[in-house]
Amino acid sequence: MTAIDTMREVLNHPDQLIEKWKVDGKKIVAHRCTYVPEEMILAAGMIPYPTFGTPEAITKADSYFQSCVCEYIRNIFDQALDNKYSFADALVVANTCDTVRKLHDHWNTYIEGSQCYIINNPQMLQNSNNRDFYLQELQRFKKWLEDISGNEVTNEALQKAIHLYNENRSLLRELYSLRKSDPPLISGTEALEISMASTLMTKEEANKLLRQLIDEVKARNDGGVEGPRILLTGGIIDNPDLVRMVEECGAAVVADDLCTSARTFWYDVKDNGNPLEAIYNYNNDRVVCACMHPFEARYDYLYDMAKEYQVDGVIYFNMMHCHPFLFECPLYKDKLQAADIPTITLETGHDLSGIGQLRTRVQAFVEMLG
Amino acid sequence: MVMTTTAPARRGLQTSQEVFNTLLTFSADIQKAKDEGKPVIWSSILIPPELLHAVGAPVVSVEVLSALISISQLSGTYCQITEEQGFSRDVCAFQRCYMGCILADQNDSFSQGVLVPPDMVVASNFCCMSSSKSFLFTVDRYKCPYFFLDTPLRAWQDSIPREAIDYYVIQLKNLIHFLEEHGYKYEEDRLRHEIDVARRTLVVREEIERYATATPAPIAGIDGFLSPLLVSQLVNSDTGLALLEQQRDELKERVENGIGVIDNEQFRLFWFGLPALYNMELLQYPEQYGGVIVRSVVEWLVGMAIPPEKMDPDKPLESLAVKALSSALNPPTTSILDFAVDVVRDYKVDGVVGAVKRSCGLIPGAVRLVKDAVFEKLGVPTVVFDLDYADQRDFDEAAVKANLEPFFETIMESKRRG
Repeated sequence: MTAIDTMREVLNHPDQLIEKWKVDGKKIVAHRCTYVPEEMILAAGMIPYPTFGTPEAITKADSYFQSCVCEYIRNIFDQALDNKYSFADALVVANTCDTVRKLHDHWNTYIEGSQCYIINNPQMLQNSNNRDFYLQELQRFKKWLEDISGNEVTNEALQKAIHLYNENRSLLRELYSLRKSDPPLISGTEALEISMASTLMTKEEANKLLRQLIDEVKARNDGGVEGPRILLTGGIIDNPDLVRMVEECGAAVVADDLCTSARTFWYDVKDNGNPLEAIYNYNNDRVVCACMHPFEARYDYLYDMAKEYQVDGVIYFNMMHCHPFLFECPLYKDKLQAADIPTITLETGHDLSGIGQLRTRVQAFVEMLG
Repeated sequence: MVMTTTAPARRGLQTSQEVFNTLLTFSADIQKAKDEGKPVIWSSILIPPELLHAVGAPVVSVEVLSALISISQLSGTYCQITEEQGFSRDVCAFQRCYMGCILADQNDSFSQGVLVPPDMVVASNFCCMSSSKSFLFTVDRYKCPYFFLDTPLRAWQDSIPREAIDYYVIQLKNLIHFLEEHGYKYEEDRLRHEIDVARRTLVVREEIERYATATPAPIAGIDGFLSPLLVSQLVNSDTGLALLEQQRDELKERVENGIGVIDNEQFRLFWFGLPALYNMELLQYPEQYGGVIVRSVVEWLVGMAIPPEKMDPDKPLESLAVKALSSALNPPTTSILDFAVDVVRDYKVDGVVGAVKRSCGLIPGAVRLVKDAVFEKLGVPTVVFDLDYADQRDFDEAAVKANLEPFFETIMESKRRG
C-alpha cells in the first residue's frame, strides 16, 4: 500500500484510530482552529483530534441553532447530539467567531460527558500589547489541561511536542512545495486529503508516512492534473470532493489556504527555550484567519502564497453563513483583481447539494483563465 | 375562546417624543461639527462613548445610522446595493444597510441629508464578528485611518483578571494617542466627568427598572426600546441623563397613580432581540390582545446593563475596561441567561418573544439557551421565529403574526387555568 493510500484509509475511517487510542486508555481532546495549540494537548498526555463536518443532513442541531447559523458549527453540533463525539473527553475551540462562542455555550449546556473550553485569545495580533494577557490565557489553558488529564504539562513535554509538530509542519510544507512545478507533482485533492489525514494521526505516524509519501511523489512525472493554476481559500473546507470538482473542471489546484490545510503548517513555532512564550509568539505572529486582525496582514500572507505558487486565479470557497469570510471576500477579491489575480467567490455547504451550480461557475472561471 | 383584537387606548411616554426629536437632530449636529473642522469618527455603539465624548468628537454610530435607514424604509434599497458589490445576503443586515448608504455615494436624498463621511474609524470586535469586520469596508472606501479595540471575551467564571483589564487599558491609552494624533485634545478631567455622569445614569436606570416592574406596566413596547439610554450613548451623556431623569419621574408618577400603558392588562411579554425597525408598530400588536411588552434588551445592547459602582471617576480608563469586560453582551452567553431569567422573574413576565434576526451571529445562537433557561427555572414559555430587525425585504407580517397569535392564546389559556 502506498503512503497516500494509507492516509486515505485514515481519512475515510478515523474511527479505527479512535478505537485504538481508547483501547490504549488515551484521553482524546477534540479541537477546531489553527489557534488551538495542539502541542499543549499532546504535552498533557492526551490526543488532539480535529473536528470535521460530514455531508449528512443536519437534523437535531437545527432546533438549537437557527438555519442561518454557520453550517459548519451546526454540523459539528449535530454530530455531538448524535453522540458521534462521545469518544472525546473534551472539546477545545479558540476565540474566533460568534458561532464558535455559541458552540461553546451549547456544548457545555446540552452535551453530556465532555466539556468545551474556549481559549480567550486576542484577535488583534502582531501586537506586543497583548503579550501578558495572552500568556496568562495560555497558562489558564495549561492548568485546565492538567486538571482534565491528571498530568503536569512540563516544559520538557511541551518542547518535545513543539519539535514533533514542527517536523510535521516542515514535511507538509515540503510536500506542498512539490506543487510549485508545472505541472504540479500532486493534485489539490490529494494535498487536502493528506493534510487532513495528517491532522487526524499522531504526529509520529504522520511524519513517518509523510517522509515515504514525499519520496513517492518526487518519483512522479506529474500529479495527474493540469490547466490553470488555482489557489483555494476560504473558511473550513473539509471535503476533498470540492477540490476534486475544481480539478475535474480542468484546473490544477496548486495551493490552498484553508483551516484544514496550510493555515495549520505554514509557519513553525520558534522554540526560544520558553515553550509557552514560543506558542504565544507563533499565534501572535501569524494572521491567517479572517477572524483575526490586522486585515492587511492576512491579505499579505494570501498574496505572497499566490505569487509563490504562481497561480492564475483564486477561488474563494465560503462555508454558508460563515460571516468572517463573507465579509472579507469582497474586499480581498477587489485587491486580488487589482493585482491581476482573477478571483471568484462561491458559497458551499457540507451536503454539496448545490455542487452542480458550483461546477458550472467553476467551469466558466477556468475557461476564462484558460 | 374569543380574543380581543381591538387595540385599547394607549398611553405612551412624553419623554419618548423628546428622545425621538433628539435622535432626529443627531445627524445635523454631526454635520455642523464637521463644518466647524472637527474630524468625524465612525464607531460602534459599544466602543466606550465616554472616551469619545470626553475629547468632544462627533461620533457616528454605524448601528444607529443603520437603524435610521431601516426606520426610513430604505433598508431594502441599501442592502441590495451592498449585495451588488459582492457581499452576501447572509451577513448582518445592519452592516449591509450602512454599507449600501455609503455606496449610494450621496446620490439620494437620505444619504445627502444624513450621511456624514468619516475622517477616521474606531472599530472593535465587541460585540460581534460583523462589527469586527464590516468597518474594513468603510476604511477601504474612505481611505481613512482606523483604530481597532480588541475586547477579550468575559470567559472567566469569577472576577475579571488583572491582565485582561490591563490589556484593555493599554489599548484605550493607545486610542487616546490615536485621537490626539488626529487633532483631538484629551483631558482626564473631562473623562472623569463623563464617567461620573455614566455612573449617575446607571443609578437612574436602576430606579427606572424598579418602577418598570410595576403592574400594570407603566412603560411598554416602543417606549422601552426608544430609551434615553440610547441618547446618552450617542449625543452626550448630560443630555441622556436629563432625559432619563425625566423618564424616571414620569414612570414614578404613573406607578403612584396606578396608570398602565393599557387598561385591563392581561399578560406581560419580554422581547428578546430587537424590533423590526421598519415596522415598529409590531411592538404594539400584543396590546390588541391585552398584552404588553414590558421589557426589552436595550440596556445590554448599548452596553449599559452593569452596576453603577463599576463606573469609578477616580479610575476612568479602568472603569471603561470593566464596563466592556463585564458587559452581559460580551460572550459567553451565561450572563445573558442570568439577565433573561432575572427579567422574567422581576417583571412577572408570562411569555418571552424570541425574535431571531436571520443575518445575526449573536441572537440566533442564544435564543434556544434563553428559551430553555427561562422555562426550566421559571416555567415561562418562549416563542421563536425569524424576524430580520433591519432588512425589510425579509419581513413577512402574516407569518410573524401567525407565530404570535397562538402564543398569546396559549399564555391566556394558561393564565385562566391558573
